[in-house]
Amino acid sequence: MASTSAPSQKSSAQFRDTTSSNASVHGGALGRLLKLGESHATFEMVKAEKTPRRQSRRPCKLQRCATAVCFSLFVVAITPPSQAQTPAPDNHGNSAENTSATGATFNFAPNDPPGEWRSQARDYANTRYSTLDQINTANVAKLRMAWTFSDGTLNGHESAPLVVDNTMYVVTPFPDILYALDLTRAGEPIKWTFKPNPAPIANGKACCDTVTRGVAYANGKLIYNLLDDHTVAVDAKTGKEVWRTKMGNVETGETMTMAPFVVGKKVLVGDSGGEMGVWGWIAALDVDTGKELWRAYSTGSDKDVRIGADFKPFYDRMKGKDLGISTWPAGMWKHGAGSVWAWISYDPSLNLIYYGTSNPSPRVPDQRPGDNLWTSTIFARDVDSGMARWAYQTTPHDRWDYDAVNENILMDLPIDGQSRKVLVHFDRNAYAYTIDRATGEVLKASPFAYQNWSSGFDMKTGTPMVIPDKEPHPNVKLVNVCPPDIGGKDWQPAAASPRTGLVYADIFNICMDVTDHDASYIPSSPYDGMDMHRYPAPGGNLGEFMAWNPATGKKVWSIKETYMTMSGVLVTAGDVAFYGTADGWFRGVDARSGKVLWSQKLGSGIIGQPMTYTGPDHRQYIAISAGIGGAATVRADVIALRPLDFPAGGNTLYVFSIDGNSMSSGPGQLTEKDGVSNAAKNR
Amino acid sequence: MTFAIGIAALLLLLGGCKHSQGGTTTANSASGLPTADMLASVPLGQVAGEPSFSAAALSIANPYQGNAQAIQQGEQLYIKMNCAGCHAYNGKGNMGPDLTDAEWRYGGLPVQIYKTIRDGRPQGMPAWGVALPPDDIWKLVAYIQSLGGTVSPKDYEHARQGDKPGEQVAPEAQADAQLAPPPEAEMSPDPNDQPTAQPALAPTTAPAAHTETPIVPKRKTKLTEPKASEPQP
Repeated sequence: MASTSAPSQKSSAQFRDTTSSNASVHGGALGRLLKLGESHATFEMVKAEKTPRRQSRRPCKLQRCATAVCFSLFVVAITPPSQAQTPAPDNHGNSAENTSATGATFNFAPNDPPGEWRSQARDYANTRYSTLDQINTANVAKLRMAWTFSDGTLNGHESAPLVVDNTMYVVTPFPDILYALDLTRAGEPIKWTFKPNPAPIANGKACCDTVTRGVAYANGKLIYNLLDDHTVAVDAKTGKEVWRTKMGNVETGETMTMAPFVVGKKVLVGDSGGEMGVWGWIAALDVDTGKELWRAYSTGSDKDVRIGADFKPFYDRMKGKDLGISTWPAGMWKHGAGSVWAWISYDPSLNLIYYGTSNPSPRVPDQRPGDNLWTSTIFARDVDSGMARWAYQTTPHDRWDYDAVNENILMDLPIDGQSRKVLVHFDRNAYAYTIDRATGEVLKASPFAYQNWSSGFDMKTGTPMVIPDKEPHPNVKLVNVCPPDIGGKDWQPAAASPRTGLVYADIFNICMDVTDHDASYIPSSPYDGMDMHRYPAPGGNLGEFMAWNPATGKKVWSIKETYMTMSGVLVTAGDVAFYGTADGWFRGVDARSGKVLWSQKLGSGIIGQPMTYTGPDHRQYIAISAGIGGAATVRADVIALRPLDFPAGGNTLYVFSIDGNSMSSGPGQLTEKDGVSNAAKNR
Repeated sequence: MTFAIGIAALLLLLGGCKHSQGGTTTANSASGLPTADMLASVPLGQVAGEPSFSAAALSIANPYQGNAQAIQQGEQLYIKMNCAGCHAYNGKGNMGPDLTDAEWRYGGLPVQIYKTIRDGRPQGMPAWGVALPPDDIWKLVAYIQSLGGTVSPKDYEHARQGDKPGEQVAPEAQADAQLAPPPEAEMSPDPNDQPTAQPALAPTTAPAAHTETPIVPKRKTKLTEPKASEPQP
């Protein structure tokens, strides 16, 4: 297993290489044959629905095989699908001969080894796309449990495990224990356990359960944030703490729940506490020492926010001096939140990072007249200096808790005949944005989930038009506002496939009744004031899994789920998209047609993030943590939406393979010798 | 109220007898509130060397229990002091624990709840003893008691020793669950079966103009009905 990951400005060559090596290791001719047949069929379905591209160039492969070209097909079979038809793919690892609905191309830097999973989003662009295709639409129905691992905690599990160098790393919610599991041995035993001992007080300061969104791997270290505002680095080999940096004071209500994001020698982290009156920030630390290199606040003076001469927001509303102060009543910016608690992406060619900030505090808008910049805002910053290049506020003067923290997926996308460098963002406010990531210009904005707070989107100002009747005011019960505080989609990250050109996301179908109460700023206690009661939006389902076309701003297909869908998404070169539901169903879906190909009920509800890796036995595995919690259950009214068949909490990692084959399952007693189980050897 | 004061005075005597040694008696009988000395006599757990809980501590009552005006003032404090931010406006908890049940980490007796509010607790609960006078804290306790949870002094020993009967949680929810529409993607329990359910392939229409009538979930149960804590507009 290759273990180098030099950050690369160009993804293309490495992407092709990794796909090739993957196919040569795993690609069986028969499997590929089946797969081609399958993909042809599904292509026809997509064609019927959406964009018919080059259909004439795709004769039935099975027919061809039946003639004298079996040999050439065999060659096809061991080459990656992207090269199967056309030997001259473009330079982004995306075949010119694909069935992409959008023609989106991606930079997969830092081009981590295809069988590993080293960061939560897998790549800088936040695609959560894997080139592994041993598990594909033809055989995903044969997925069975290979092995499981209980981490011993009961709070919500929101992270994906990492796999680096045949070791899996699993982090628990508070108390943030990190396990290293040896994948080379039967039973995947624990290699080491790291207990960071975070402060118990953090338990009562995290708004939405004591979660963590995971660990990042960099330079031989596992780096993650503790709920009590420390970032720690742990030696991946030994499990010993390398450094620990105090980033905030948990007693103020500030916590940390996001997964660090590593770019080269910098690790980027931010805080949580949008309901606690914190002063939100993002910071860059040195990967090797933990030393803070820069910190940019989300409110305050231009100096605090790291806004300088090269700050060029696209829209006039965001131009001006010290807007992080002047768009607030006097002094309220100091505890106006704008915390940075979810995802960061990075474009190597522009050297910019992208991330969003949380809702403003308190959640009572009448207490803070003004746009409340830079809360509910997407920032583009130079990763080296931390200086802002542009900003775009998705929800000015947020009244409903519509954070802008959701992931920004980077891709190059033909829009109206022009290739644009864009980011795709599903906001809590229920609008899906396709934004020019060089300038901050909104290219597409349309609702992806049920909403009734805006009457439409003003492309001129880049702002949704607010319906005055849906603005809450203190001590008045406002009924039926959609989406609710947790949005049309929360932090649970989407995935994107270069093969289909689509983006896949777990979204919500929820409304709320809301009553605001004036909140008092009392450090140590919440700064909130929002009393809401949630219930399903029209349709009655709470959840939905959808495929989205970011070029047109339209939904392609969707699967409605009774319960909330709040897991991350994985999509693979096998054209399977994986997601989970809050009542514990884990599903594999045909990424083109939306057909559910496989489902498995797990022991608890799923708010974790699926990932895939190649084991030392060269098998592809799919892993997901079950363990309900987080915002899916943290509020009593959401719990009340659960009938008794809703699972209880309790965290278990589930790992699947075709037929459940692994070193840790099979007939007879599996015993281990020289690092390999006898059963595995006999197979 | 006079009755409560009488009880308090009696308890003062009892508490004083038991814990006068080294204690500073700050009787506050004028206000009718339990004194600091009485409160100090209330342990969180067992008392070493004694088979059972201190009877005196058991009997300290909230002078405002059931007092409608005090409960209303307690509710106002509950909102103003940001209690609702952690424990929810209906008291059923989110960041902080549910206050409407009988499960209490630091004791569910009124006097134990008082001490929890006054002194704070290590998992995030701040100490309000500086910011609020005892009178306000007792009103907060009265409000919490009005939510239907907590542990009454007469039940406390049984609760502590696990004598209480078990409970079936929301039996009606089970029946309602069957009314929930099956997910479209729902598959046969046998994963070998070919799935028949198809997701919608048609592009979804812009979900903007729909009915304004809120859909109340059918599976909503009594447990989810707004409690007394529901704020009055």
